[in-house]
Amino acid sequence: MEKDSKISKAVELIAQLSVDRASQVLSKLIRSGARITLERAYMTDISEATAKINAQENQAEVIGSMVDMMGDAPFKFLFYADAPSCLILTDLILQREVGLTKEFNIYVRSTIQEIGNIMASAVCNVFASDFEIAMKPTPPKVVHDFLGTVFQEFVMGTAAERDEVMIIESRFYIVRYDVKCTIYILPFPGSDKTINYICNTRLKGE
Amino acid sequence: MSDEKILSVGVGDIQVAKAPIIITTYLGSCVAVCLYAPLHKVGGVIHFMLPKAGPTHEGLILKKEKYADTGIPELLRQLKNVFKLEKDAFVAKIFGGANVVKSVSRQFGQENVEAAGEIIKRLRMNILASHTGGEKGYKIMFDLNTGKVNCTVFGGPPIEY
Repeated sequence: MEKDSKISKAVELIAQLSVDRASQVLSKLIRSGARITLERAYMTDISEATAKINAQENQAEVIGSMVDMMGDAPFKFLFYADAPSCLILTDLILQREVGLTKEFNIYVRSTIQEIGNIMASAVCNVFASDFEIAMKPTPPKVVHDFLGTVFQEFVMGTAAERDEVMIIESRFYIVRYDVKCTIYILPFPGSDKTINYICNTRLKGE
Repeated sequence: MSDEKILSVGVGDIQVAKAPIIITTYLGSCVAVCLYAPLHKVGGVIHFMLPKAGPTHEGLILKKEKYADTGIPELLRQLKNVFKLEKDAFVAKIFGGANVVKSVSRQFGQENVEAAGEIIKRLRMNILASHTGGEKGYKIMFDLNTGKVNCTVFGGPPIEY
């Protein structure tokens, strides 16, 4: 029980630091405040998690960027937003009038790819600076599809090896433009020893 | 379709039911096999993710619903047990198996579609319709009242099978 509580404290700590850093980076990128509206880490059955996503009524098209982080604490990162929000994000990043981008094109693809890359790297920096754990990102993969399909492809690699997975979920709200985006962080099975390491070093005495 | 209850199937899962129910799911490289008994208006869907079950790194086999070779027979077993029907009462339809994430070197979608076809053939069942492959996700809505599957490939119009 004591070990479980330490592990959940370690995950909570990683989640808080990562989400804080990601939100700062997103705000800086778009030069507008991004508020964290949800932040949670939980264990879930993969079938239940995907069924819940599939059952969401708002299944509009989304554009997502997936990044695999390899190293001592490997994890998978997904940033996504619905299509209208991605068009706004593209105009913000390109520093032009909001409303100019009207459809999914190469600029939108590149913008979402870049946001995914930068935010995932921000999470990696937390591991490096706060826990001395080196990580390396793989090139982001951009997917433009149904939310259910994007989420399914995101969990595929981990779900093949386990029935239950740990998910760190966070939502950001860009108040000025009414843009909602979501990030998911999915630790790979090999992350267990790193989480234990954090428990035994950083949370010593708690 | 408005009065019917909707059941959602997640990755590596099975849903079996009797009309009036609509079973729905979203697919990428995963494949959905829909089995339907037209005379009894009962059916089920498996949403599997890999063609073949194998021992994991810890030597354990995970949920059989995740794999075509263990999951499709399991779907048939559940339908037979719950509704007391014989195998011959059912027909099959197959959807999904897209190559959504293009940089993945192994074509799981294609492998899943082939595995589903082989297993249904081995079970000596008829494949009545299928829509598989491509590079975009699928949304399917399986209406147990009619046995029709409404299939939408992302960006395209819904087509009934």
